[in-house]
Amino acid sequence: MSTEVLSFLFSIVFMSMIVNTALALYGVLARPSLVKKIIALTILGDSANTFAIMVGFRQPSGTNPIPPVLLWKPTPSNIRYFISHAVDPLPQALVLTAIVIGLAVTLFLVFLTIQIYRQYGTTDVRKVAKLRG
Amino acid sequence: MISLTLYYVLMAICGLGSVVAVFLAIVERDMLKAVLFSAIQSTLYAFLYYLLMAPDIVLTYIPVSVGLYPAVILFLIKKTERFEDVEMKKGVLWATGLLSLVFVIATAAVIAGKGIGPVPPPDVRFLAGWYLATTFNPRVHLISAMAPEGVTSIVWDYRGLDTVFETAVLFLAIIASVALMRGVEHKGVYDELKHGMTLIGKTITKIVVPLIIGVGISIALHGHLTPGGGFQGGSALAVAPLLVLVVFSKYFFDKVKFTKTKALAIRSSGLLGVGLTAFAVLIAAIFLHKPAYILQNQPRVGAPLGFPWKGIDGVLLGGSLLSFNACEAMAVCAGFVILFLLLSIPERYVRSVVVGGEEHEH
Repeated sequence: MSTEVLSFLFSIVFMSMIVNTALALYGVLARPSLVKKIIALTILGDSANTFAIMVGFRQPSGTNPIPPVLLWKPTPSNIRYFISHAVDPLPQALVLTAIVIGLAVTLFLVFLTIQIYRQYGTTDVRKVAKLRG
Repeated sequence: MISLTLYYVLMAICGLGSVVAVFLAIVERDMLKAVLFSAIQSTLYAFLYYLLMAPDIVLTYIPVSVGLYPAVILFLIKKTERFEDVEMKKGVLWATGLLSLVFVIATAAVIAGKGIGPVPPPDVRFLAGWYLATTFNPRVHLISAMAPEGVTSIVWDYRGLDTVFETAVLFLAIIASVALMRGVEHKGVYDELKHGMTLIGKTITKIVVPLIIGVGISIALHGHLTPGGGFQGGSALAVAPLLVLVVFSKYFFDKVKFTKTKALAIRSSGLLGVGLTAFAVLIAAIFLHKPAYILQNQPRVGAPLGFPWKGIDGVLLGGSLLSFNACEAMAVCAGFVILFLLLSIPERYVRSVVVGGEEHEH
């Protein structure tokens, strides 16, 4: 496969994530509903995580990459093959904890939103802002 | 070579599909539909992570983003409002959606054509090469993590301190939610016919739940060998109690006397286990009068003690990774169960406590 086609297809993924980030930012900043803001915030987080994983991706010439898990006996030749084919494990390790903690923080936001609804009777930030005064 | 092209075409399809799903999720006025679109986006992202060779991420992402998170948002919608009060013109909407898709393809074509588009490099960075070379290498035992799973090795060995602090963030987020619902205790009597879904749903859940628990435990305990670990196993395990909660209702938990306090106890023992594992080698070293590090896994230069990495018959034990994974899975799963139990308390009752109490104080 020519490098241009590969680059075009990979650029589509990259640009999709940029557009998703932009759409999610619009959702977080401009939409009035707190529920919508939470949904947009998780999309924003997921898109940021995808960028991190894409940074660690590689394309060894001719063959497919492999996950960063050594599945054979640790002989020098196997380890050499592993180093030359496996993707970067560091972004994956960082994203892994980010996803679980993201859910915990989202749950906290969910509780806050329910509490706001209990006190103000609405999840619309424009109405909440008016009621506060 | 055809398979390689197909591989990237699938990635591009996942990317474009996710743009459509995200667009629909953001502009949709009905929150129920928005959650559904967001779940479709999550599924496409999960495919993308799989294609990007990140099986660990797939294992966490599927239970969290396709299972737990939409369920939590559905709870939220049920307790608050379903529709967003915003008007958008249909024509503008369609034009924006189409424009974002065209924008993605056009800019991709331009940057790829100009040669400035992102191309996956044939090599990884030097640091990544170092991780890959030393994650399981008995010939350099003094700098190796001695576990074949690169991601889990980084999570608990190379960057173990990061993960401990991340666990602290998890702890704080859950404690903050519990604090918001302080003083709300609710108990009811479980009625097989009145509460929860139909008998068909309940029977299927009875079959599925042990399977989910088995898979979750397997993911957690094999985390040092194959993709998986404490965070992945814990979030997969948390799906089981959530399913029981939805299908059997909250009153079933009251009947089997599984309370928030018990979940808190499991969670705290998990966190205690993480703490003990972090200090285990140091404590042993103090008694043996030898130097050691906090969060030490394998013997290092000048610190000769370490966890055993090989059992009898050469079974790989993964050193401290196994213990960390088991404890973290307990802490993550029980932590989420606490929040689900709190979310499932009937809103009318919570209102009478929270709002009623505040009015009383005035």
